[in-house]
Amino acid sequence: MSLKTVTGVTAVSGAVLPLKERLRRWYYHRHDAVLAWSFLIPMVIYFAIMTFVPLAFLVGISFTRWNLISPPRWVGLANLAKVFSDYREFFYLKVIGRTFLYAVAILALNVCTGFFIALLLNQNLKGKGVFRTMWYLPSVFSGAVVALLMRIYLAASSVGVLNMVIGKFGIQPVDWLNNTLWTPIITVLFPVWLGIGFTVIFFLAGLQSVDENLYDAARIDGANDIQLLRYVTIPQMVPVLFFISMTGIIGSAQMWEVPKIITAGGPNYMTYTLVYSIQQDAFGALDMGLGTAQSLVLFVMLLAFIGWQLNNYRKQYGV
Amino acid sequence: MRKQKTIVRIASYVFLTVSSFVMIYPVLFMALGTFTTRDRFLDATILPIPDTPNINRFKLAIDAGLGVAYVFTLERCLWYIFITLFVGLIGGYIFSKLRFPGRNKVFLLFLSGMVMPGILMLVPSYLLMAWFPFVGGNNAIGQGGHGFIGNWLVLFVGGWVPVFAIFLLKQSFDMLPTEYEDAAKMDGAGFFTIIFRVYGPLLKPPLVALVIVTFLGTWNDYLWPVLTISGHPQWYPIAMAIQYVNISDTTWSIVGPTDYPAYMILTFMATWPPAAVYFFLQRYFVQGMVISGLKG
Repeated sequence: MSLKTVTGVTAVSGAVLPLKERLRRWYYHRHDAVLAWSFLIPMVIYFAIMTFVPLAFLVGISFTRWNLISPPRWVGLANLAKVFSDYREFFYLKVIGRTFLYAVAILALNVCTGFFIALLLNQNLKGKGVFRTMWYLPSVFSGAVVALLMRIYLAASSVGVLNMVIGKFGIQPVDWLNNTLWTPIITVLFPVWLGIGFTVIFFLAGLQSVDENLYDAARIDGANDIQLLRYVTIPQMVPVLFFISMTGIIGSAQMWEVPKIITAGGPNYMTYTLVYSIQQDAFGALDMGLGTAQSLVLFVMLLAFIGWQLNNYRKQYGV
Repeated sequence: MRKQKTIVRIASYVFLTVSSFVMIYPVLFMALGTFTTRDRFLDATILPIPDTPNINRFKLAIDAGLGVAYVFTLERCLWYIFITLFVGLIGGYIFSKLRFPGRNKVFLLFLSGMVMPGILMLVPSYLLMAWFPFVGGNNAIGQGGHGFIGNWLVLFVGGWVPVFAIFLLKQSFDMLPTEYEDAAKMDGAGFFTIIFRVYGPLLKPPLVALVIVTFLGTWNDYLWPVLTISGHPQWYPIAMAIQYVNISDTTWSIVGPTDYPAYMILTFMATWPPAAVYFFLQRYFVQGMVISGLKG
């Protein structure tokens, strides 16, 4: 039995084909793989260099004591130990806990308000494009830029803009930025104000892709609006909710604009968040080891949290 | 039932109007403030009321260095939009339409990069740039010089594997049937033709969404340039440049009447491009998310 191929080579079964023919057949069978890997190899190399080398550095630096001027000095696990120790009355553990609380508060406010607004914007209202834009506009601004602006608005003295406004109503000027009540509130509201535009857009998209048939079927069974929301909309929105929650936690756990630009971590360290702490230790006090050790803690915590949530999600959805 | 719906609609309008105004109040304050003089601004109650449109200060800001910053930042944005779309489309296609060993593992690898928050990577990435071999006076193991730091290249060599884009576009490709591709192949289409001329036009919404997000992110990028290019004002992107431009006729101080409108003008000049880009492209944005099927 012979096999005549495209190149005119006739092969008899059992005979060894010439190299060129063997290569051609191998390429034909593995076409996809060759194509894919020709692009993936450079991408993986680039990725390994740009992401994993810095990660290795991160781990490495956290084992040293280094002030960028003199050469680094190996201190082993001392930095990590310091983060978890009772140094300055558990300073770093408090920073982590505080950041976590802020992150949850910001996320909760973001998700609840965002969902509510998306529900409103999903109706067929006149000018919904205008409203949508107005809700998205704050997200367009760079956080650092707006924070600078906020610092002016919220200046404590009577020439601070907000104080001037309430002064016209006869209220005494308030020290917004050094106040144990208002400063944390501002620390939560500012990231929410900045980020809610993205949340609304994603929720809107999710709402619009819910199958209309489900609503019709439920209505036929006699569901009212609130039941529709609870039994159709929200269950369908779980994937979007998941996406927003995950990206939201990653984002809000790293919030730094308010402490850095507005409050300097005060009053009494009430707004001293983790990423701000990393910046202060690494670039302020020039203790790179301590800064990166905190970064590692943040990274591991986020990774663990996301991995855990992803696992739950997969169990529920079999993705 | 009808009546209830009308009440809901009216309530929605009212709520949206009020809440939208609250949301943009600071923005409005700033926008109007750019056109007032300092004294007029200090007299403002709810909103500053502009008197003579003071365009002179905008021109002053541009001459003081913002013009250069605009151009440079725009160049950087265009570069990253190109990279994101080009590599994103190729990557998305590869992970969606091709079958090959290691596909899932590599995708997972890239995904893990997305989990790594940007702030964490600042210091190590800085070091990578500073110690890059054979660049900027460095020897083979990257010591001795300053590497990419202080060089305009440092703002262009990062982020060539846009994981978010690849992920998003993979989802989008998944939703497109292979029939398009098969038909094109029968007409002799090659790899690039399939991606850019067959599937490309079908993916306009997610691509536009990526353009918006990439432009926004690159335009507002502040921390990385501060770390890597400080000391070279000719290459400051706009978010940095406005910190160093002084168009006020008084000194910037917190004590005494400060030239708030000067701040406002600078902020406004740094922020209108992303707003404009979003405004013109926003109708694609929501569509894009829908088509890529966030629901999985």
